[in-house]
Amino acid sequence: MLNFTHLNAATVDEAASLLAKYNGQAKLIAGGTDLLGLLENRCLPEDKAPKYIINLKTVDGLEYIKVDGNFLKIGALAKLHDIAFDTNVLKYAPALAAAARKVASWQIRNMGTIAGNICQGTRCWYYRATDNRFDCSRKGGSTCFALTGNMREHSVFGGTKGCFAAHPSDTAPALVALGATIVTNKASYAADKFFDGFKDTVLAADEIVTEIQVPAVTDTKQAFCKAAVRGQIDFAMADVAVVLKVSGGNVSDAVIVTNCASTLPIRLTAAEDAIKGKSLTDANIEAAAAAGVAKAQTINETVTYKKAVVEGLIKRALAACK
Amino acid sequence: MYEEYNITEPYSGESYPQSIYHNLKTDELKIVGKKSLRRVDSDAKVTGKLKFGDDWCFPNQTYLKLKRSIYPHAKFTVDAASVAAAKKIPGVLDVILPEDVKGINVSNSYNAVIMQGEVFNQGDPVCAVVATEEAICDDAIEAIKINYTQLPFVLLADDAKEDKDKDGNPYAVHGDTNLAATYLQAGGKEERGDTAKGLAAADKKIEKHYATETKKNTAIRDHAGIEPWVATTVWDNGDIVVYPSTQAPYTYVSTIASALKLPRSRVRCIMGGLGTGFGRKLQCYRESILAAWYTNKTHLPCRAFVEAEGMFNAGGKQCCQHHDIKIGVKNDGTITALVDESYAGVGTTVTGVTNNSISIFDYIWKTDNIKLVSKDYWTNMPYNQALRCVQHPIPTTFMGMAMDEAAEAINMNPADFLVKNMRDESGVGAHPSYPKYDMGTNAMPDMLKELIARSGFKNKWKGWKTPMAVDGSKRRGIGIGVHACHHGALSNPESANIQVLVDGSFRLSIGSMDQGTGSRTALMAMAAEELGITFDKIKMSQLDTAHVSESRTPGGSTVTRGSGTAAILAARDAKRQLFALAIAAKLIDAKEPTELEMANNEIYVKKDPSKKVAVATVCGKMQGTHGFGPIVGYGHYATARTTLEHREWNCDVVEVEVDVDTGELKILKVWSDCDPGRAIFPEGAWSQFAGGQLLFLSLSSYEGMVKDLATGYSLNADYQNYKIATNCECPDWDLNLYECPDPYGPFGAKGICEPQSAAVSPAIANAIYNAIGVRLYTTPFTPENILEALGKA
Ligand code: SF4
Repeated sequence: MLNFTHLNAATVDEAASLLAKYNGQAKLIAGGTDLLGLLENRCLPEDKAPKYIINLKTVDGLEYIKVDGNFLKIGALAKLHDIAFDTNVLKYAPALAAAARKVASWQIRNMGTIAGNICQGTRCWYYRATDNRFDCSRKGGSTCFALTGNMREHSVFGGTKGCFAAHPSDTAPALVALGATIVTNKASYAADKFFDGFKDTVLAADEIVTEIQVPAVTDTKQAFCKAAVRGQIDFAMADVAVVLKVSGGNVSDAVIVTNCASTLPIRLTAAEDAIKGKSLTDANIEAAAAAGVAKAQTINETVTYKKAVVEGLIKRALAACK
Repeated sequence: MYEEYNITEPYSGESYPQSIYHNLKTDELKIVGKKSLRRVDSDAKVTGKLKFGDDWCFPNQTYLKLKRSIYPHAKFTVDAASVAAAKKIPGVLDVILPEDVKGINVSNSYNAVIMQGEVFNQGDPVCAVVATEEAICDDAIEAIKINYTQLPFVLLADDAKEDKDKDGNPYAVHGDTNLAATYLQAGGKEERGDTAKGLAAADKKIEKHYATETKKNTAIRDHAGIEPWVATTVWDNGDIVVYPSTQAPYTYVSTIASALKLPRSRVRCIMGGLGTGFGRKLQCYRESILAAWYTNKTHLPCRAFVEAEGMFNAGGKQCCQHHDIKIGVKNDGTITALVDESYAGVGTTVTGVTNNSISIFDYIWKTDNIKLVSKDYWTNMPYNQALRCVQHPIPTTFMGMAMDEAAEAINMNPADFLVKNMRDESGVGAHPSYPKYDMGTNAMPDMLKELIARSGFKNKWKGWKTPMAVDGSKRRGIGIGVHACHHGALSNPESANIQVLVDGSFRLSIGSMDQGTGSRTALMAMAAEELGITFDKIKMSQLDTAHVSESRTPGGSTVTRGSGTAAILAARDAKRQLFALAIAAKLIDAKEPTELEMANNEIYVKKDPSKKVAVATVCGKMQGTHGFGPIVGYGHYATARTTLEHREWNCDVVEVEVDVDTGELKILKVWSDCDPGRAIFPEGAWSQFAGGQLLFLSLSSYEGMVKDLATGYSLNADYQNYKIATNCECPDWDLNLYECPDPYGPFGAKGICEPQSAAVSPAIANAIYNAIGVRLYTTPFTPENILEALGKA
């Protein structure tokens, strides 16, 4: 375990000012299910490892899930388990409820928070190797070791700045598909502008997610599908979230998002375009799924299989909206 | 006085002590085989009171950890300045350097307790640190710098067998060639019969290559035990007392005594609970020897702890295997020839990996022509170790897959093909290569038919490449597999003693460990039944090597048979002495102990059971004036036999669902039969059976340790990324203990768990084929491999 100083924050403002004070040397912790592993295995180079851990569990009032006006509002510290079974989430954002329910195990869902889930770091085997065994591009080095090694867990949709690590969040694609807004102490981001394939998120060093807003509408059909080796306890091989509007038997609008097989949640616009204006027949679904993965690149044969996985999940998710 | 109950095995002339109740049916017995028996240590376990290896703590406790190589092959020196700096960290007590322990080897010179200037595997130790806290060890390990000069290495058996390194340059791990050993497994000969002729006479031939590794993936398997290695060593007035997590307490005694050049009498091992063995804890590990070395030097208690990553990298593995299988079949299903030529990459230190791995085929499959040859090749990988069975499950998986393909070649129902081709002989003459040897009972023919009927296989299986059901991209399939194994039997030597206490209770001590299996309960049940006492009158202590004579390391499901026989002998000896005391004390009307027997906590006259006396009354006289001191019954069982043991059988039918779009596999239902001989402790036997099935299902469907092929570094050396089946992967079990008592095992018992669990793997493979119409030739059956077989990856 790396040595660090643990500081409890009483408010978001205090946490933000601590982040600013220890500029770049501090990290936030809430559930801890992501960060602790990184610290314990000393995965980061010394100059990039956090010296201060700022605890958000001591911040009150950020665990809410409520409907406020036209939005479903979820506090940053709401637990994944609570989101999965909340009546309003189930009503307005069933794809998000399904995604939260499919994260890891009961124990982790009881500890893990929604903000932690979308802000978590990459699980790249090389990045996470003990004692910073691979000082790769994402850490400031010059090489991506995965590219010439084993990319079983990586992106099949190309890299970001030479890094091919998959973004591991299950809830992120659901939020992007739902057109959610991520609110921080400094700004608001459309969910599809929040993620960064090279540095996880666009957050500044002293920026903290405070709330997630999802449009509270009930006129969509939604689905979230995850494929993993052992079922949900594993990080996904791929996720697909779909939000459709259907009128007169045809899809009038479609958002199809994939994650865990890409460096950040991405909209599969070719699949969206292929299904828009069409009915959800098997043939149309298959065509949309094929279009969705047409741009998949298999730069390393160990990741090729994920193309089929994403295609299969698009089919599964669209079929679930029938 | 009980010699008439011994059973002599005709081939070897070996005499097996047997219970006087051996021939009774289970419902005629009082304790053995009763469903009401409950695990004796369950309360202590669920309340957290049972002490495991990591729970021992002593005043002035110190902690020891190894610094390990990050390279698979390199020369190294330890940077002296960094060692000096590490020693200055508050709490650091010592840094143990290679030169401090030169000459202390675990087995051979490639396996020094600390490597002497050259490492051959990632995880090999380069130095050790002792500190007042475990976390301080980590800080010191981090502070010490190692200067490495990287050297060529080889990971894959396919490269190793060509005597090449990973880049294709000439290279051998040790000496001139990587070929470490060749084994002839058809009765010790290259072949039995004439396989070339057999293949020529076949109507159809199967010729396929199967492997657990591919060019993309190393996929060796870890034992994945929850409890890590830990051992605490304590100085006790000149003795070294070790509290380890091990299957092998006597190996600890002998290894530490020899490493430290101490008489064995000065080393003692005391066991608490053990949280899994699975074969991985069969040796005394380097860390423990170093802890003992430090304790011997300083007289301070020292705990060596190996974290999960260290166990993944440095611990024994089930190595990779390749099998070239040829089968010749006649259209009527007769196997005209069977050939399995296999090879394995075995790591750097241990040969014998593939020895016996395929010999099982010699006595499972009916054929006159069989060739079984296997080869071990050195690689820069973790050493091979027996792990959830020696090496049978992988060959069983591949052979089961090949037999399914053979059945398809002649368009025969796979269940009928198996029924036709299982050897059905039992007893003497059952083994074609050892015809004089008594192979004991053979449950397979009837058990297999029962399984086929119970599972409804023949109705559910709709034909080749015809799934049971199709639902969108999901295909449901059914498959069948068989397994036999000769483990779970040989156990040599085994010691037991039974102390008779003055209040009429008994304390059993046995030289084997309960690894969490419930063997303690089973052994107590056998001893109590033989003694004729109720179960509440017997207790069993944790193992202390100072109290029981040297016994064999329990591994390979041997405890019930081996230790059970020793327990029966000890019970006999205790009874004989008690009867002599009862007669001497004139507590019963008899002249010779042979006139007496015990039942219901009473000693009675066999010819007139109305003449009896309470056992407690007799025990009360033990320290009286009749010349009888405290009674201890001794039992010691050692067999001289070195040939094969009896067979143990298992067959499975499995139903799976495969998503042909995503490659996801769900194992829905498992019907399995296994033959435990007689189930001594049915609850424990059932949980061993289910646990064994789950672990073998896991081995073939999920598990594989991935090395980065360019650097040799382990990429998934943790329990998140190395995937073992969890409770969520448990299928719907329909498990049947098909009891077929063994003539030689105590009360008819055979070993349980390891020998009877591997049939699930070929059954899964064949069910996948039934579902998707495409065969797999590599394990594990992950989505990645399934999609590749489907041409989608
Ligand atoms: S994929 Fe990214 S994180 Fe992984 S090794 Fe390459 S650069 Fe590093």
